[in-house]
Amino acid sequence: MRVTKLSITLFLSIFCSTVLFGQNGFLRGTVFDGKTGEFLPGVTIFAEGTTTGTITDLDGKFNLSIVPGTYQIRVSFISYETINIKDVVIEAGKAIVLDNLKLNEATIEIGEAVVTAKAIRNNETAMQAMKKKSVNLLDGISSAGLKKIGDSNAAASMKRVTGVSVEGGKYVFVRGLGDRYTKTILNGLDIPGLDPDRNTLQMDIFPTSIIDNMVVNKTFSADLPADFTGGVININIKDFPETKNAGISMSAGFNPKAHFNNDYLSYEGGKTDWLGFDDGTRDIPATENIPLFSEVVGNPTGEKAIRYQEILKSFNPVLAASRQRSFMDYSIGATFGNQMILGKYNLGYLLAFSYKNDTEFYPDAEYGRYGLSSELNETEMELREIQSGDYGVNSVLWSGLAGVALKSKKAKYRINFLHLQNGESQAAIFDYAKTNLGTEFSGFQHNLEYSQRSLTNVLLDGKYTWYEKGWDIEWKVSPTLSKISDPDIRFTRYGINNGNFTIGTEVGFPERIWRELEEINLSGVFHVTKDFKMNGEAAKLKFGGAYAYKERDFVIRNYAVNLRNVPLTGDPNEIFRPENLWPYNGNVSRGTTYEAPFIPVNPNQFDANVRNTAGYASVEMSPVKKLRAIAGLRAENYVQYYTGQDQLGTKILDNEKVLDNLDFFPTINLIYNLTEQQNLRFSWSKTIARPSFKELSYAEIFDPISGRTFIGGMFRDADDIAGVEYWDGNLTKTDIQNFDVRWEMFQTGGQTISAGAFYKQFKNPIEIVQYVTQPGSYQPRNVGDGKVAGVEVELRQSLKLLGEPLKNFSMMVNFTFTHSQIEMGSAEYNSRVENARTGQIIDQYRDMAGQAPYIVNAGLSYDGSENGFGRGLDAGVYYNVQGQTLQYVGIVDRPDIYSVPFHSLNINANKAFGKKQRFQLGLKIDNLLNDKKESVFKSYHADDQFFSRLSPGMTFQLKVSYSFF
Amino acid sequence: MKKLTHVFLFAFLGGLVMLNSCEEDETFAVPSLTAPSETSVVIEETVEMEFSYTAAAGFKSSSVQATNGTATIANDGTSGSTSGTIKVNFTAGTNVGAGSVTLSVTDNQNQSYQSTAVLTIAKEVAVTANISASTTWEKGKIYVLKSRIAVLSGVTLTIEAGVIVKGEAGTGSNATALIIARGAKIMAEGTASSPIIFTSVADKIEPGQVASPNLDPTLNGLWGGLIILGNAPISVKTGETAQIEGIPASDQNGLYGGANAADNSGVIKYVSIRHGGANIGEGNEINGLTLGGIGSGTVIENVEIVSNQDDGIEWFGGAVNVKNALVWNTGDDAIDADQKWLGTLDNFIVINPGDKCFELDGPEGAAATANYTLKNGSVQAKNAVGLVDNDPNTNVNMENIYFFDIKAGQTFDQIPTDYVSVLKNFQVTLPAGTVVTDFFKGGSDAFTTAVAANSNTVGADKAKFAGWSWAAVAGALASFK
Repeated sequence: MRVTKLSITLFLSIFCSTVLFGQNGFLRGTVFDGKTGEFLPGVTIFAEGTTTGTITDLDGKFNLSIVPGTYQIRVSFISYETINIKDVVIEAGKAIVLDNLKLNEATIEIGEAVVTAKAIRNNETAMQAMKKKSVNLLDGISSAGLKKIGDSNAAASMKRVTGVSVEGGKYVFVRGLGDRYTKTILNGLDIPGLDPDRNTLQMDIFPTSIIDNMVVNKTFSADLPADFTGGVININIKDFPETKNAGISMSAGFNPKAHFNNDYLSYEGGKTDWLGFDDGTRDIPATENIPLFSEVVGNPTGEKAIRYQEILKSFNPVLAASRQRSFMDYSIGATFGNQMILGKYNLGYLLAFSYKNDTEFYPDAEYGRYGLSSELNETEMELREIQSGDYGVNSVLWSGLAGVALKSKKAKYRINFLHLQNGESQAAIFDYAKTNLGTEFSGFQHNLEYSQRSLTNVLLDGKYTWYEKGWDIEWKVSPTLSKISDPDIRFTRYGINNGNFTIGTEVGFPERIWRELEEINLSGVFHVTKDFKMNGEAAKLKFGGAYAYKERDFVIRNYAVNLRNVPLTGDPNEIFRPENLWPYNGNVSRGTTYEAPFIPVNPNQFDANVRNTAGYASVEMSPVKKLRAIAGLRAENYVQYYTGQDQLGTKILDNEKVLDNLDFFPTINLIYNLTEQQNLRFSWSKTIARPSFKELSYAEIFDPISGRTFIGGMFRDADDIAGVEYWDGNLTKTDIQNFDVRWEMFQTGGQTISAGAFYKQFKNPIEIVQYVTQPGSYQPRNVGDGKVAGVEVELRQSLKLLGEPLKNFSMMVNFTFTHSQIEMGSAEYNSRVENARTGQIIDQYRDMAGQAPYIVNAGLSYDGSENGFGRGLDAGVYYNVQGQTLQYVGIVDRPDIYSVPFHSLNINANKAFGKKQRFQLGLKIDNLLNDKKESVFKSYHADDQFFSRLSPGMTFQLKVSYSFF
Repeated sequence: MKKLTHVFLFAFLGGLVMLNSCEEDETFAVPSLTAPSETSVVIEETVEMEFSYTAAAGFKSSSVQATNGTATIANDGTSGSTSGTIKVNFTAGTNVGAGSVTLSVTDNQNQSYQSTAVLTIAKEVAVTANISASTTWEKGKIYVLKSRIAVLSGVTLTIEAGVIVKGEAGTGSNATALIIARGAKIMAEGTASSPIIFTSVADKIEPGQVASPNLDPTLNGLWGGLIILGNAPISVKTGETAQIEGIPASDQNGLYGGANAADNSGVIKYVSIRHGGANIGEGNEINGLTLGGIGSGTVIENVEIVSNQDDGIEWFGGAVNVKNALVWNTGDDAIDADQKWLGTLDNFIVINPGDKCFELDGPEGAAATANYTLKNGSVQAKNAVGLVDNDPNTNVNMENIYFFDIKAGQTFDQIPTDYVSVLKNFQVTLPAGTVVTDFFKGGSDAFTTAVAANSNTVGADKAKFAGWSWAAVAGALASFK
């Protein structure tokens, strides 16, 4: 009842807020502890000369309603230094925000500082304070930082963080470790991934407009999930707006190569493509009651034959990519939020919506496949296959966020709804040539693809504090539904021979593929914290638990299209023309027919689920002066179940347990304050990496586009006749030991210098290994032990020290250098030895796949001046590069594939206009160096050869935004 | 009179009592029988059927009769029991269609009840699992491969002359095929009058027929094919074994290659393989007859491949010899050899392949120590893409081969250079207005002579294919000499 009444009041208040509280103004802000970097509850905020005051809530936030005027604000807390902020001007109906007020513990000479409001305003320091004081090693990026850099999605922004690299614009790696060792969580909770082939989440679906901050924890602490090694990235979605805000923004991006280009490639999609999902245009013709051609050709007038023709006719007949004029990139966004006082509660709400439509075009894209010559003294690689041509992509991404939070001084409740929707349509025309082991032909191909992804998340959380007694309790529950579907991937290749078009086994038959993945996820955590004193120093006990349930359904269905004696003209749209469908002119031996390789047994289908139950406890204390230590232990019981079968039906698993591990993860983090501004850190922990759903399966997934077959890790690879076992089918976890040291120095205004080193040891790492006996087949296996060592250096510096004119400029540079090695399995080692070129020496170790040898980030920014043109202007130039990284491990005559460093140089500038700075104009230029995205085959003493080459061109983006308050 | 009346009355009452007591006897219900649900049986095979009965008065005896076969009681009811089961063995006759078993039971009061169970008698024997014990497939029956079936190492599959093997529908990993794994044997000895035929379930062919009554000889890809794998040496990039095309790497019955050049995988004689080559994926195909690492101890004679979606016959290494082979209407190449095959193909006919007539490769790993030989062949190229496709490292000798029905663009591309190839006595009938060098490139004109149609003095002996091959029966050999 109370809740209903409350919500009615709530809604009334939302609409009447200006009327109800019209006369007063607001003073809002946050207070944090200068010693621990944590937000302080219970701090008194008092306007001198009045009787108006409040205390900070459990998030260290306050909201004071006060009559307009100019005040001196006093911020005080027992045993802490008091700060006085003078000349705070409160206007009717407006909110003034005093963010990140730092209170230091009182020393002997108790003094009161008096400062101005301006002097304490700097948004980046919150993240800096957190970095400085956190016992964990962490890095991050705040919403202020996101705005300054101007990236449009989380993946693009993450690469600004020390030691973070991004692959394919989607996958984020920390410290160069492959995606298997990086974990992404949302609001501190597990969320499902959106790619069946990856362990980590695609980060490009999170627009920066809904992100409050992103934090990268590089070391483990007991309250974090244990399945990460490089880092865990926590994306915190915005919740509680500080001020009433309503804004709209629009942007337009222009890429001279891709936009308004008449050669752009596309294909006819559905009516709702612009909304990021398919309207049914790409639906599969049938998933059941599918007669096969061999069942109907013998009885061409029977019931099955009628059904066969019905299915044949319901295929979408478009197989050709078509050239049409492309449009530019554009986006719109709107946010609305406010907070108000409702009796003893503070209520905040936030609504945000964003829509983005991007078009990319890659003329002269190239995909090659090269092999080692069978002549061992020939070092140059041989061309086996090459695709070159044009390729167009249109991507739609929208997000909606609605959140309400209710706070009292001692409790906070929050509910957040988030939906992300992404649809990507691709069309390509490639020339194709193949020269491989006696197969030699050339021709062309059309690829049409559509991929839609969605994620719906609800977050419910509650937090309570009894700061007088030192207790804090927090709980979170979050269900998530994520779906990915690739409806109707269409692939058609023609061979050309003496001017005649052919389609056959050698060229490959046209394929149509439907891929669907659905994952439901339910996560919950609770944390209990107790502050106490130990040896007169602050200490903290933290314990809690977590539970995560994930269930994934995955299926691929593909139809192969067989052209039986159909005259071909080279237009892919002819294949499903009604007159060409079986039976061609009534002849049952001719016409376009389909085959359904997923009937009767579909080896590309499985359901799996996992239950992870965790509990932890940790204690943080100062055993000696200047040293803080946190020691913790986490236990996780991880149980994975699998439903599926191998293709022959000899192994059928029905919700059977395939993994059941109880693991303990100890951790020690030490932080030693060399001086007030300098820390020395040390950390040791044990973490884990587990096989994914797909890896721990009997799936056999053939990808007609790459021609590779993925074989689930549960299959044995053996030659029992010869008595050899290459792989026993027991895919298991990887145990990792992590060691970190770091020295860091903090200066005013967020200036930082730090240097650190890390070392990681992998027991039974999982890598994707190629079958020796069938080189197109791959399987995840535990391989020999691995090691990664690295150093990290970071510098953030104001250029003021170079002279007063540069006082508003600052520079940032960070550098990560790593060395990784993994012991090769015997199959891989032997194949390398047998295929070694004359004079080549094969080492027993190689780089870990996905491990970048170095990552460099640098930026120069202008942070605005008090007045003149510089007022409301911030601008920056940012550079990022990642060293040559092993992408695919070679075997037999297939060389290793490495990514080539992409030198990304971007410029971004924002300028606010008007007296109240409500109107903002932004300009961004991406890929100023016009670099190409390339991957190459590398072999001993051979010239590098392209595996892929795409040229994205330069993009110019103009953005306007207006805020109503 | 009155007394008499009484007597009668007494008698009547007594009778009534007796009748009553009689009625009490008759409260035993008549026996009942429940027949098994519809059963199917293959001709000449025996099936056990279980009937259940009730006999309130106690079971006494049973008897059985059958139509279209014979029935015997294998396990009778228990004397005096009120319920139980009776097992009947039915042995089907040779007629396909319906059969029946009529069982009758009699109880201790001589009351009887009878029930008839209906059977379907078919020629088709479903083969659903890998063959792990030596087995014989019998003449007159049709064996249907329900999935990919492997004959496991150490096991012999004997196929009698006249047997028809049909592959169920399916492509990709569901493609049906018969694999003779390394160490297993196939004894498929057909005869000229009674060949063994491998085809698709779509084919309505009956034992005794050679030509399909309903399928064109151009239809391909309706099932997989016959894959024979052995322990003879192969030449691959790594190791001495490999996984055969078309079989997923997770199935080790697809491994082939070893050290025994004289390995024996059995006997193949008078075998016709049709409509196979189901699509697995690009570069991953099932050939009509796949010979992976087959040793010289194996006998292969008189084989016909009709309309396979991929290649006709493909050798992957090994040392087996093949005599009298006919390849008609393949979707890809007709004759394909790789990985250092070291045997001989003698007396063969190629008609109208989809790609090359000969796709001839050499070793992929260890170098060849000898050549393979193709001799005494006749080739009707028709719509082929090419005649002979050699690589520089092909280890081949070719002699006495005749080409006709050729057209522009079809060529003998090159003479191998890595090994000394003995190439001699080629004859060709040229289209009007062309010369030998238009087709025979790279110096191959040196051993090729143009002859008028049907004037060839080299080539195949087509008589070896008469009667048992579909091509001969369908008249496709009419233009061969």
